[in-house]
Amino acid sequence: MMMNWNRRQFIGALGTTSLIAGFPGLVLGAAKARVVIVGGGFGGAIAARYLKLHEPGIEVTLIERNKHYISCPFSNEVLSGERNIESLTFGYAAHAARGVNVVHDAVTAIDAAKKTVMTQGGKSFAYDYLVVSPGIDFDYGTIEGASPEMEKTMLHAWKAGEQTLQLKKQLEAMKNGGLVIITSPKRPYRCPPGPYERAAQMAAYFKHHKPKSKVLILDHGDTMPKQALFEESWKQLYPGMIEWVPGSSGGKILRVDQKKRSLVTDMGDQKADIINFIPPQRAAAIARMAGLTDQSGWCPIDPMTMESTLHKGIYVIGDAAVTNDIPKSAHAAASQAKVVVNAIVAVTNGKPVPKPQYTNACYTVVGPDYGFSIVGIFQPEGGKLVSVKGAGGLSPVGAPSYVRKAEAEYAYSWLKNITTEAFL
Amino acid sequence: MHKLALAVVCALAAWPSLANDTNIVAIADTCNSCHGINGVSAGLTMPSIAGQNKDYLQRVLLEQKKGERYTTIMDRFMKNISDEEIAALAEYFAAKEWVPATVAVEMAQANRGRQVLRKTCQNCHGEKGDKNTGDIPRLAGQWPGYIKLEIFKYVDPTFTAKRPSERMAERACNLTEEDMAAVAHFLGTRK
Repeated sequence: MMMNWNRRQFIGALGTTSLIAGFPGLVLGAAKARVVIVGGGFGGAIAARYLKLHEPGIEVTLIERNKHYISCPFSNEVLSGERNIESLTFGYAAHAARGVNVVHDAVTAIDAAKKTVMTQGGKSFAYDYLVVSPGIDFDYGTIEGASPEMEKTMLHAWKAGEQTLQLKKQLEAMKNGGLVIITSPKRPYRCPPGPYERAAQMAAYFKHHKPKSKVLILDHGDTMPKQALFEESWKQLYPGMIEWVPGSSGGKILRVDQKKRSLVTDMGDQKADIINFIPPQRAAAIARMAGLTDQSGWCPIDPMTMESTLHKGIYVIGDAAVTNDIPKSAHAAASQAKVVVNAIVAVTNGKPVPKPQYTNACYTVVGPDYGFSIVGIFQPEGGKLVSVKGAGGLSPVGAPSYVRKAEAEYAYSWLKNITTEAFL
Repeated sequence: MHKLALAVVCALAAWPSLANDTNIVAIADTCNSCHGINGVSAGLTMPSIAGQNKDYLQRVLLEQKKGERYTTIMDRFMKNISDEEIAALAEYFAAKEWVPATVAVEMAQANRGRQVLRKTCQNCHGEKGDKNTGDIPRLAGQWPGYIKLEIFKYVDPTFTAKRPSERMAERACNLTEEDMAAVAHFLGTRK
């Protein structure tokens, strides 16, 4: 396993523990290792939590711009009015209470050679291991006529927060019989089933308040995740209210006309009362600045350890990383965080690095008492992260109401437990 | 790759029990996103597994893996876990401390639930729902939302899969929906 953990780094880590080598678990003032985490979303927050859980002797610094994190998972329910955004808002007090050095600052540079992170506030942090979990940025450059300015008129609401609330206001202000367009971008993007769940949650709101209204999904691709389950649920819950146009049938956005507020596809100009333009995506700016991205715009990693293949000693987890079959989800980021933590803790304590465990559980709630899920188990294979055959899979199509209700309830419990794991 | 395999084999050989093996801890960590840190669930329908009976956990996980016991999702996870790993995971979580759910007591419901328990459930589950064997899972302090979903399996006409326990089926059909909610609430308030 040491081949994946470069020897210098391993010896370095041992060096810091040599004083206490005979007394595992005993901390004599000096930290066993210093870990800096950039980004306090699900990936970064859970990495911090598990480092302190499994090895309190490791010094952990979590650098996050914002004082609060708003969960993207279940933010579509803010649109239907099923929940408020406060129920998805979390702080970092629990991390501080557990001894994590929480720093609210923006990272401006990462010096991989000197193993130092610099912030806007003029601070620098030295590390033995760096975990980068920066999330996504929008990439407007790949569509003609698109630019960041359109965020104001064609909301994305793909980073939960102010945009989510604005989109909800637009839905509330729209007339009965209005049309909403949701664009589903080129893959990979954050939360693959998200656009389709969003369509359902919007339809849930319309059903009770503006039943003549419709949602049109213009899709870059020709398939959607959980497709049979979505199509079945739309038909059952929202007949005639949601239309999905695959890319090859004219769903692909060729051009954006911001002045006319229209999207140009093979079907011509598409206009609507509300356009929810979910832009194409790439790794967040700090990953690009630090040289952690390749030409794809995402961060290539060693699937055994999540270590960057471009900079040794830096581990990239969550949505920003190239993870092949693993979708960009909170649960996947959590499992990647644990892979990195378990490796760091093992090396720090001179134990063998465990086999990496990559899992994903992704729940969708399309309406009251109606949920379904997909499970993925992944393993490194031929330099990639590949779905394990014979494990994982989808909820059944045609399932009875007990199953849909139970899955909706488990979905909410998933949210409660993973947000507790990350932030509480 | 073979170096990794060797490291894994060495780790397995060095430990008399698998439960503390770093590989088992790594698998157990993946359970926590749904079942809570160290298997202590934050609620409301996800069961706590920390401190649950080892034999019960092992039996249920194996049955789920083989498709012999209905579950919405666990079978899809367990298919990737070997029988030996399941035994070790059961031991790992059973050794954790049982932390009761945090449920505010509603007196009327709790009293009704206590009566339902005495009349219908205590022969198998114990006077306080704290019987804890390979056949009987500990219920005292479990999340009421989870207990309710489990009981509903036996009475919901849309639940068509094989029901896990004949005895439960016989008893649960005597209960009203209010009885079930009450007994789940009462059990959830126990420690």
